[in-house]
Amino acid sequence: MNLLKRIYLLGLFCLALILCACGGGGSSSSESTSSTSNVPVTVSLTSSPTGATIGNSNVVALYMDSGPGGNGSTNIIYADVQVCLPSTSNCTVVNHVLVDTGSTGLRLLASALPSSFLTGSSSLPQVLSGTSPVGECTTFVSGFTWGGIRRVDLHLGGSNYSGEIAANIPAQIIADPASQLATIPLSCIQAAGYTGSSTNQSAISTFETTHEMQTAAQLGANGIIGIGLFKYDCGTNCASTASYVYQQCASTSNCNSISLPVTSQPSNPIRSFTSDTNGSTIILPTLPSGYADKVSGLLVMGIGTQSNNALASGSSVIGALPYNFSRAGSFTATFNGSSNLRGSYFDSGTTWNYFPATGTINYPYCSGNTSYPLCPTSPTTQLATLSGTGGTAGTINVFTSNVTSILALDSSANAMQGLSGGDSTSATFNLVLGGSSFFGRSIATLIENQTATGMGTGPAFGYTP
Amino acid sequence: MLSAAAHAALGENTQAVANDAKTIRAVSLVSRSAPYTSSSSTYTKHEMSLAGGGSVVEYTNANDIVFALSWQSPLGAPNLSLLLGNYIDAFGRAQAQSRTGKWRSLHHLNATEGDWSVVSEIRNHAFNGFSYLRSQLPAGFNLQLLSQ
Repeated sequence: MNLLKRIYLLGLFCLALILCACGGGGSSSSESTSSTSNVPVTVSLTSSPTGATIGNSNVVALYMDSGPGGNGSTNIIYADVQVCLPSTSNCTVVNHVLVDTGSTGLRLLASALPSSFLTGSSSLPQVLSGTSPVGECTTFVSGFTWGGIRRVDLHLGGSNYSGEIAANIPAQIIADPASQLATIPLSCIQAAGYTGSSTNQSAISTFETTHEMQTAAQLGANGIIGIGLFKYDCGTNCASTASYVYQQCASTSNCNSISLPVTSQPSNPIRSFTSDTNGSTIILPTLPSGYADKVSGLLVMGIGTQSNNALASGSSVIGALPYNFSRAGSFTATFNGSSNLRGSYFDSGTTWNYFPATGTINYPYCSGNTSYPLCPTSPTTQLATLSGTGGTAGTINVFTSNVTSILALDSSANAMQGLSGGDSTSATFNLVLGGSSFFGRSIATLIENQTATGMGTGPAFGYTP
Repeated sequence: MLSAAAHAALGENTQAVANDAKTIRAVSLVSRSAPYTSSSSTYTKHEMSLAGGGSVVEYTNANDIVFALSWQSPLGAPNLSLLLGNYIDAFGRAQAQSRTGKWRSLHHLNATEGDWSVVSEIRNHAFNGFSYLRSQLPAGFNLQLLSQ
């Protein structure tokens, strides 16, 4: 068994070397491991393509591990953030905040904040509609978050969070203890899929507990920092039309849908810094063994705004569809024999890759599964061709590992390079390059209407091969 | 009698399409017979425009059964529980897996359970996706039509 494991590791290592050799990007990694089982495998980024390093004012440490209280999952990219009462030095650090390039805005669990930030005369100021606090209902495919919008100073990067300040930005406080927000509005849970009676408290309660992401256990994180392609959370649609997203809550169980000006909506924190505001880059090391229990990487704020954040050498740039388009933030891909995969994107808020599983290569599901993950007999790399707005084009190697084999080596692996799922029907319309595609790469996110040297105008992604 | 209270669409008949159009407050409902493609596949396409922008398209086969539907909306979810009908529980199980499993996503969900498949996406408050029943697909139906 041990011999088999070593052979397998050697195979993955060779493959990783091949990927590194053709990948470029200029980053390198180190792995501390052991041939003894049950010893944690830690992979650290030891250098970055542009020399960005921890301590630089625009650099934030990223990590993967078992999550808050062990409630995480595979391939979730976390950062620690410092939030302060606006214009004060009364601050707290929230760990395990999920770094999401597929959404916009800062969302923090109330349970991760000191009670003095939430109640009392010097708590985080609420965004108000009239005299009533504003609540937000955010729907994700897997569930929803509900809570008030309050203003915070967000400190990121540098030494001891002194690098950049996004001052007085609106953030969603999930499970906000404010009494007016105590009851999740019916329109919120209906948007999340509740069909039952409006008066059946038992059914409502059951639905909430199976769909809400109001705790670290439910969210797998203590918050979400959305640093995606767009500037605002919901944007001008929600500023002109009242919907379930924003609600004015006069008292418990008395919330009404409202429109909300974009300046009161949670927004992309990168845009609120005083410098390095056009976008950001996530840099993760390649995983020599294909998996790890701990991974460290970097989030570099700004693209081409400092000596340490130029677009990584060898990057391709793909323009994405703008706000308000169907499939906003997407480009078109050709992969595994399917052309016109027109809803394709990079997304750190998805832990795995997703693509048509049948075609040039038929990727089988792992034993006993019907949707994901995939388990090719041996790790498989296939080239995807990407094309975006403005005539942008590029290629990327999509690596798919055998998850069952990795779990046999490390059943608690918190990081898996090549973790993939797919659709075996011919209906798939996208190639999703999730967290498992971020290893060994620099992936840049240029925000809408912003420019960066070598990238043109956002929304656009840049990536090393 | 096919109940007028049949609020669901997928797997139900054309009456349910009209109900859906009413309940989701579609601003228009246009039904047209196929073929829409070069294949000889026979089906009818019901296009509903949503008040907030976006649309829902439902497809019925020769037996008047809704065998597939797709949606896209820039502002909030169309009422998926209504559209998915009897398959909403299976959708809930897929959501639970996406929330708690090793292969999580905030933005992309796909699932197959028996005859039923779904892809759902929510990114930047924009919604799109589709769902269908494999056994009810007309011969030669091109599933790529479902991605709006």
